[in-house]
Amino acid sequence: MKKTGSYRTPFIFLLLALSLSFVLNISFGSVSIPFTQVLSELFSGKIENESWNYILWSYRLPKALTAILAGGGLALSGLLMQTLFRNPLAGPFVLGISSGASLGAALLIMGSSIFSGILSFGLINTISLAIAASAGSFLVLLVVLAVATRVKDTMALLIIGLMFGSITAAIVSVLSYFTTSEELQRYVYWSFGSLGDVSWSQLSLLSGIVIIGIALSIASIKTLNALLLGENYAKSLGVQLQKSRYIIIIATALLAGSITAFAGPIAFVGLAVPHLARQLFNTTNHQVLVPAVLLCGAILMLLCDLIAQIPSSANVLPINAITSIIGAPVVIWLLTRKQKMLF
Amino acid sequence: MSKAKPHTTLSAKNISIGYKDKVVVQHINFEVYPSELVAIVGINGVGKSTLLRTLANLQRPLAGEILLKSKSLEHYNTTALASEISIVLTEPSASKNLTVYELIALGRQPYTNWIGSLSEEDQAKITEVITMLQLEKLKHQKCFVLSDGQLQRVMIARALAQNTDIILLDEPTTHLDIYHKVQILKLLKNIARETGKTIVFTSHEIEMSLQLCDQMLLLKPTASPFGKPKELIAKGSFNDLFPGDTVSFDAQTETFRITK
Repeated sequence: MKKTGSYRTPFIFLLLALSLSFVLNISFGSVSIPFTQVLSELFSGKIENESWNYILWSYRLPKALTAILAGGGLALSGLLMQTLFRNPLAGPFVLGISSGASLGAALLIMGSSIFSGILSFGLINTISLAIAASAGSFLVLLVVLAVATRVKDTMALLIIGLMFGSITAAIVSVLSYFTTSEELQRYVYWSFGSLGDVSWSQLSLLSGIVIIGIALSIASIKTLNALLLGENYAKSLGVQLQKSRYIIIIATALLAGSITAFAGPIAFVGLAVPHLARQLFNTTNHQVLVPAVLLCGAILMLLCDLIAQIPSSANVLPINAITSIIGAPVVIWLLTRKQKMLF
Repeated sequence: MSKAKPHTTLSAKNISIGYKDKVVVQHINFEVYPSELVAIVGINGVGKSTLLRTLANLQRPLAGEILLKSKSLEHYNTTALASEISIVLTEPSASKNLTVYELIALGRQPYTNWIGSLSEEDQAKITEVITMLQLEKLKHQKCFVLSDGQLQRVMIARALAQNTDIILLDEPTTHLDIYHKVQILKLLKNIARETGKTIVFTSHEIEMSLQLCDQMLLLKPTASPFGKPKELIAKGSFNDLFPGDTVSFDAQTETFRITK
């Protein structure tokens, strides 16, 4: 492993980029607030206009912080999956965790009219959606964990995750066939992904879960590096495979599950960012990659959200669409440049 | 290593190997010592890799006992075993995106801290191994640009960096031409001589093994002869290694002949 010092320059660059994209992110929106005023508010708490103050603190700051958590967390969960499954195409979606969350959300939004009486429409708010989505991803996680104890082959686990995705898609189709158009629209709206619906109290809960996920990932860095050689070699190096796999899967579920629960499904960040980070740092050492994907993911999400705002316009584009529009070409670009994808 | 009577590093006491409901080979017995190069040979599919995996504790023997330094292999936990046995499998590293140096450095994992940082001692060991295997020029190359022979040497270097008394290799010479086959086998021989390590490998290179190995295990489903090459030849153990009359062993030249 190269000395960590030689990675200092790109890390400083990324930290600067993160600060810049953070300030840019909160400066633009449907109401334009002068750049200098934003900086003045951030550093000295002084701002000319009281409504700007309100917009910044109640809307833009929690949204930007959610973007940082979501981008970093999803990218990290993608990195964990790619290494664990030895598959450069793995991401938080493959384990079925995001599918589980979608299923939870779909059942809550669209199932309520079908199984009428249990839940009234009025009860569906961000919190109940988050709970349903978390419950969905947690249930899928339990099944995946149960399967992981029986199936030793990680490739089989990967396919099982994909099958969960298919089952979810099928159930969602059935539900949407029977549901009302308002509820369908509501589900579709959730599936667009949204960073702006997270309040400060939800944000503190989300950040708590994401921090646990990051801590588990940091504790797994040595194991992740050993897994680059393959499971048999990792075991011969003293890695307790079963336990390590659990920890990595739980970290992924916490990260991807909680983020999907609060911000909706956000595609491609988990898949594309680890590849970007590997290109940028030209290493596959997780001591470097874990902090690198957190930073790159956060920056990318802040910028995607900035684009989604369409500066100085009242319209907000769905964040999921933006990440896909940016993420998919990145993956194609990496493929054509390198001829092959490595992890 | 200069003891008059070295203790066995690895021994098998009447072990059977295989999978849950299928016994592959029974009654395997052998004892190997420090500084020895030992080949496991046998017909395709007889269970050479299974035996090697069993010795590496990647799977358990169905019967009998494997002793590592006169203590049962079962009594070693994964962590303790990592500083006793290192392996080179037929599958190369899962990720080819590692540099040669990074890959070899992973061999130091049993000795590094919780996050895997390399101490000066670790770095010294890695440099020593790189020099020993003449990998200096390749050390900053990524593994995906290496040839099969180079990659095999890197995998062996990684096992050496793990600094274990025993190295197990599964078919280290497959996919290599005769020059690189000999190069790898002579390298293994030198490592065993110079470092006092026990090196056990599976191979289809019976004739080369006869010339280079201290002891050989001829794996057969029910009885697997084990001993010095000359003794095995004298006993005629090679005559029925392969079935039918396609090839026959010529004890004079120590080679296999195509039966005409």
